[in-house]
Amino acid sequence: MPTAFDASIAKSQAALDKLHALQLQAMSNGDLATMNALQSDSNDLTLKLTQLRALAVDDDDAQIAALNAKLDAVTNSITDEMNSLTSLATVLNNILAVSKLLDSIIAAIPKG
Amino acid sequence: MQITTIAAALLGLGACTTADYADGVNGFSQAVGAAAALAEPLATAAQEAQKRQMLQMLPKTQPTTVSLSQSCLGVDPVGYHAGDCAVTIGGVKLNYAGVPPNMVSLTRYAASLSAVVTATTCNSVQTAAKGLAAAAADLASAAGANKAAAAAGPISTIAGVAACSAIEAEQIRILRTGTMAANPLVKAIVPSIADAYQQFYVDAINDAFNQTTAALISYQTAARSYEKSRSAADLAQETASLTQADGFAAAIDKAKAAPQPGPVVNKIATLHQALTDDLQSPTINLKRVLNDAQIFVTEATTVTSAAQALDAVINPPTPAAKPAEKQAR
Repeated sequence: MPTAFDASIAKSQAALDKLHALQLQAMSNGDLATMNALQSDSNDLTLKLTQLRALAVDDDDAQIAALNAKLDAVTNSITDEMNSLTSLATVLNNILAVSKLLDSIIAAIPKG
Repeated sequence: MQITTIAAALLGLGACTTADYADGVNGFSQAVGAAAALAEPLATAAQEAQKRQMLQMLPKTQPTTVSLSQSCLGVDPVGYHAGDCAVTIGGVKLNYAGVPPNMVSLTRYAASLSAVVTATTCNSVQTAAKGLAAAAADLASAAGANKAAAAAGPISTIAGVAACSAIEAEQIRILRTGTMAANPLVKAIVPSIADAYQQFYVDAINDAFNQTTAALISYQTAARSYEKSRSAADLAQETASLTQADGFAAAIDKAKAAPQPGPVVNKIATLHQALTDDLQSPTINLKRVLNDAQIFVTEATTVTSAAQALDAVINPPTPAAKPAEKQAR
């Protein structure tokens, strides 16, 4: 049975896939500023998700549930942005929220 | 009891020769070897991707979070493992992409099965049986305490009294008891190995995608500059960036067109189940196992090639340094 941590990994990849799709859309629109902003976020998110997966966390960590909710918010806001092109600030804020939460989760994981 | 078992085996296996099962058993070993060969390129790609990503984030990194792992301290080799000493950022090793899958026990077990079919003397069969029992015990340790406890009894029957008058019947007895004892252990450890492979693959693809879009941004930037400058340098930058993006896209294409490593490696458990089942038949026929093993090796080789392509774009070889120019006299 998939755990909350398994869900985090799946939701993380889903959010990253959406972010990549938004990057390609910005590319088609010739929006270099958005492309640059999303590239930086994509790099940041990829690194932290790699570390989250590699280090692994306790499945009962309440922060994982919060992370899952924030990852859903990222995915949903990117879907809205791809449809309306009016909520980029929301997307960037949601990614920032995920990034900060990942920072605290990763910092708390014991490292060998 | 043992005499009865051996006698029953002899009666039931009168028509079997080593040729009936050697290819199937060796096919399984080759499949495990092909799965093990996947580890290095996949782990390297993921580790290099992680290192590149961490270095890329240096502008956002607090210098005080950069250090060395504690393992670098001192000269005592006790408890030290290769890779322990590394530069860390925020306590995370610069190239840490997760624990590489431990294929050692599975590889040793598969080799031990093959050793049984190549044994031709009473002594060598006994040695092979002991080797297989030891390899199965290793598998049990890797599978965890609960599985190890359940497997202890079946493993103890592998190296029974050898019936030296009928080597082939004894080989089959050893293979049957060995695969039966190991089957739940193989089923237990293969999924975690497959997960580790799959995550390395995902990490490598994600990084390759990021590098592709970075190259495309570089292209777009150069294209805009060229619109104004019409300079050869900007045009050259456009070409270089697009060529680079094309290289990354080609590696992603090769990886995505190949079977994914996780599902492929999981087939080792299915293959072992088939080997176990088919060895139990009164008339042994391992053609199904051999055929599936050959298909597996082909798939695993394709995945290895794709992983090497990802590895090459994530971690391009450093161009050879130009020879130092001779000083003008």
